[in-house]
Amino acid sequence: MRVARTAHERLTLDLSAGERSVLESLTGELIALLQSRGVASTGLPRDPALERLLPNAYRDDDEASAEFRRFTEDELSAAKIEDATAVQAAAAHPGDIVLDGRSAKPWLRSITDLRLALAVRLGVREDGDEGDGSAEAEPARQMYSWLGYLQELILDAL
Amino acid sequence: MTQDETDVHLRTARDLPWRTIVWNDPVNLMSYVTYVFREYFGFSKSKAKKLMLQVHNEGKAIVATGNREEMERHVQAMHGYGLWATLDNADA
Repeated sequence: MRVARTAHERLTLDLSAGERSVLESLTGELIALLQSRGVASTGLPRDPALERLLPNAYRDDDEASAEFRRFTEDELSAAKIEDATAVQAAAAHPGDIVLDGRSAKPWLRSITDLRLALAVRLGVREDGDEGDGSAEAEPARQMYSWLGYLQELILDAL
Repeated sequence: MTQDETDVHLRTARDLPWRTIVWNDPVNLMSYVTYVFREYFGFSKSKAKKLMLQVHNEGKAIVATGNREEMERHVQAMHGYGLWATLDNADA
């Protein structure tokens, strides 16, 4: 992976074939997860990753949260799917990915969503926590930290 | 309570300031949270950084105040960026 700043708020992302394929499959999983949620739902999602992606808007008011969710969740979820789809499409094509302040936005947001979902699966609960240290979780842990690194590089280059 | 008094009461309740609160989470990078505050709220670099540090060190920060509809829009936007945000009524 190489991220180069080519001009003000303009950067080039050079990803390996392996990195592209990881991004493609992770965004695919994220889209499927978001699509698994029924439309116009009002309750907190049962899946903990979805719960973090689509959280309650009121801390101590379930009724207001449900009402808010009824009117906003479909739009929020659709925006997340749109972001993930943009990243997935860019990752599917070989060659440098050129991003500016505007086109980097879906990347930054979707990388965040991917990290949030992975963190829930890994059981990351506190600052500095890397979560599940088992051998099986190693690939997920690596993806989680790689995505953080990628996001940091994009932010640095902007 | 007369009808007039009820109206006054409702209006006062409706005008109370609502707040958008961003909570600390172990996932989001400090640089990303700062970016979101700058990008979405249009805060200066120093204000965005100050609020980000407040979230990080104190566990939360009030990033906006105003009417309820406005705060609901902000919360939805924060969720769009993957930040953990809620709204509440300051006097509740």
